[in-house]
Amino acid sequence: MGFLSDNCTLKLYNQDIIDSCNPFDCDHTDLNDFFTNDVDNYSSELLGKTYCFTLDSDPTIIVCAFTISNDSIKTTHLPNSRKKKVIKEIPRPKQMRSYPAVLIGRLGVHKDYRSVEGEEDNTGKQLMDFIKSWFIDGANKTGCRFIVVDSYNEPRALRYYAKNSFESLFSSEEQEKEFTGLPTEASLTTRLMFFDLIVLTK
Amino acid sequence: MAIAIKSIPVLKDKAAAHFTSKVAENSAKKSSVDFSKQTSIAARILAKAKI
Repeated sequence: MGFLSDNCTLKLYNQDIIDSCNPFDCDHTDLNDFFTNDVDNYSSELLGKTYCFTLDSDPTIIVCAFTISNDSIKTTHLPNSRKKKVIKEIPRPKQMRSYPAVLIGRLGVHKDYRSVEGEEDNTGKQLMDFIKSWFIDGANKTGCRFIVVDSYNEPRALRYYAKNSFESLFSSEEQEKEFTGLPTEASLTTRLMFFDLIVLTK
Repeated sequence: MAIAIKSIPVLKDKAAAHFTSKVAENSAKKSSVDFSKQTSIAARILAKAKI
């Protein structure tokens, strides 16, 4: 049926997990560093909550982990049809909208469990399907329209999110640098991408 | 220390207009993807979870 549902258990990723499990290795230095050294700090500051799936046959093995936090996508702009009129006449306030979202800060799958023999979907796909389902679940306490991810700006990570139907929030790296206050000559280490949950049905 | 998690900046002008048009497009495709199999798997995961 599913490797994560049948062979793993979802748990809060906290200091107890770090102390009792083997080091989580998703073959990415920065992600490993985050899941080893930064998770506790993010949790204690209430900046993000981290969850993991451990293997049922050996609970010292962390199969995958992800950090999520509440966020929103806010827009402010003048609708095209009103632009000329507003410029010509009295300035009017811009339209502002705020869409509730959950931000996946970090997500990783153990290098030895990315694909499991006999499974139709790889573990990363199963994990993303779980996260999407979790936020359209009727038991979800708050409304959530979008999943946003702060993906590493690396081919493998970007390909993973694209395969899971995420789109870039900004049309170009230059635009993303402008909006995030980075100088044009700086390198963009992460890209913001989003998925609209409205298309899914239970 | 790992790279800090970026927060979502406010979208303005062209970026906002592009995003708003995507929102409208997706609203027209509301519930168009059958996700029932994945949600039933997620329900099993949550029933077994230790959180």
